Amino acid sequence: MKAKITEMMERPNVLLRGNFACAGCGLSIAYRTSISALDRPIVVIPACCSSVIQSLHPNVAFNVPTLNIAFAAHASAASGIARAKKMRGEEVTTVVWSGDGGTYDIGLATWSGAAERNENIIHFCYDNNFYSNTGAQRSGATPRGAVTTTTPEGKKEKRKSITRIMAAHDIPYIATASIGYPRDLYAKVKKASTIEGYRFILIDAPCPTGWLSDPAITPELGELAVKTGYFPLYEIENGNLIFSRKGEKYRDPENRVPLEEYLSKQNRFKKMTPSQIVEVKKDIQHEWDQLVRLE
Amino acid sequence: MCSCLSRKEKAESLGNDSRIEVKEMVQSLENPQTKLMTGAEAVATAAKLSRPQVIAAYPITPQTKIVETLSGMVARGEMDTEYINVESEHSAMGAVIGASLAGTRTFTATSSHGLLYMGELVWWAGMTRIPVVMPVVNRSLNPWNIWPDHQDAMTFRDAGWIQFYAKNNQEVLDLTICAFKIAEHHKIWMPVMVCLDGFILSHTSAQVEVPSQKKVDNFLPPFEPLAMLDPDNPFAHGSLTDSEGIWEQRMSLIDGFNNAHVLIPQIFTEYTEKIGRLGNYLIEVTGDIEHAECAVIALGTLGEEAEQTVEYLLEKNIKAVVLRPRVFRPFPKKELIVLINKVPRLLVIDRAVSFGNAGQLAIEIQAELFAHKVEVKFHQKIMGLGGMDVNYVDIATEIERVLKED
Repeated sequence: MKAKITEMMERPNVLLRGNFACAGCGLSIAYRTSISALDRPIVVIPACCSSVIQSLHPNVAFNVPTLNIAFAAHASAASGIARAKKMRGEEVTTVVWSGDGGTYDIGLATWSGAAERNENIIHFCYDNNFYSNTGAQRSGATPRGAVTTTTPEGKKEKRKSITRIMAAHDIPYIATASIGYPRDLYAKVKKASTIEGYRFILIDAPCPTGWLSDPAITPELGELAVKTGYFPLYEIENGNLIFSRKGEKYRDPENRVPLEEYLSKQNRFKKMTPSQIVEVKKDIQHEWDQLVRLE
Repeated sequence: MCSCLSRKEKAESLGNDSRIEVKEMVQSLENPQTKLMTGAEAVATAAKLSRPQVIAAYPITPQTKIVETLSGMVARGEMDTEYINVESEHSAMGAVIGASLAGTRTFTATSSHGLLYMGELVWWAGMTRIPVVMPVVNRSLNPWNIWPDHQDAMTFRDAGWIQFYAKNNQEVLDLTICAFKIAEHHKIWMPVMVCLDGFILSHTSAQVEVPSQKKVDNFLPPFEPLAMLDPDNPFAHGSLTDSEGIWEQRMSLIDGFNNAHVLIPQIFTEYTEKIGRLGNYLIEVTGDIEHAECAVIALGTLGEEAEQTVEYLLEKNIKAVVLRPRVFRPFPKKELIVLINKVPRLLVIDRAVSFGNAGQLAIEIQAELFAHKVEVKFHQKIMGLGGMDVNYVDIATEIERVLKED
């Protein structure tokens, strides 16, 4: 499935002016691209940057019905909405819009339950690799070597593979996407919306405020994450993994842009030693090796 | 105000002939409206009659029969309900919050540790005013103990929920049906907890008169949402709010409780007229209050047990009266003060403790006594924690102690 530029230009305006997002915010691009691809969305947002940037009550910059809920209650609240709307006979698209902290860490049980029940929900995780709205604390998505306020000397552990955990639930659709490739993201959301059941889309969403990067290069960082192999693009449909056209060639390490180019543009990695960079490269290759096994 | 026959009166009317009692019971069992059921089954039956559109529940922590009974009813097609088998109590409350805001009548049930695990979202439902009905089987907290006390529900007395404490399985059923009407009244619009003592009610069978579906439908109209998540009319619920917004919201919640205080007796009256039994009182009075030497105040089954104490003490020529608040939130202050003003002594029995202070009921009543400058000899006692057995003689002993002490 391919997204038409004209279609994307005519999509509804879901993100209004007056939101509180920082300059160069990756999640805003992810939100606008994803939610505008959906028909009649109702969006559940746990504690995360999106619960803050939507503006202050009674103003709201997210132009779709939005339920803000406790950190670990996104997929359960969405389950309730999906079932209630089914009971009322109303056609809607029930969405979880969560950050990585809410998906990788504190909300893991609630989405695992909803995925096991195969609730009719699209779960988006915009992944900025840490707890962003509270000032950059470490999460399960933080990569090895990254400095956060709770890992001042750089994180010692590799990041969790949330999509492989999700894949173990055998849900009908999983995809990874990046704000560096909005047409690819848009097309994946469109595709997900044609499928019933629990669907998961992980979006790489750079955060210049926490990554200590230039706000002007947010999309470029998204692209670099794909080109260095750091963030592979793929879909898993009914258990079969297919690498996306945009990122497929980076399965061969020979084709990858040197990781250092990606790391050097973000001051969060400035404390990394050469040996740690080697470790991160191993982490990246390990993830690719595991993904290839799902093909 | 209590119209039911006392144990002694029943015995007299039956001429102490146990065969007659058995015959009466068989007759009542044959009557299709009267069934023998546990408190858990009474809850499930009331829920079924109230036609919730979405139920989300977790069966354990600790387990009660409510969730299993309801899943059976849904599976057999006896209920037109979406049933969500969630993976925890936290998710159960999350799901009913979502379902309620999506425009459906919702129900869940829990107990003890389950209520505590749900805690964050119990507050969420209270503060954002989600009209869900949730029976709580009152059981002790850790270390593991599955017997009754009120520590679980008392932990949430401040959470913005209406709280009822039932004395028997009949009241469990009646209050649960009423709870939907109260929660969903547009001038109240807040969650309701129906508390029933673990094992004494939840796992013990007793006769319960079950109203017909037609009667319940006549009392309880379909769910009418005040606000609903709707793509045609987008709004954000629970978004980031400044101090003024929170203040406004909390003040509106206080108003909601004031409305509930006025409206609950009216809704009880309507239930009594359309279905029967219940009565319109917030506090049940058993005994001769005008001549009582001591009033006992207790919640739930302790209150019912104290009714037997009143009879027992009459034989010893001691006049006592029981004041049993069945509505604890909103706290029936003015009703209590009117009653307490009639008695010289007060014994408040709590089945929970605010550790570092005293029983919650005692603390709250003392505050009212001070505020209204009520002259009464005040006594308090904590009883029945962790399911310690409390019978009518134990309560009588306490009353006798109170009478001796002053």
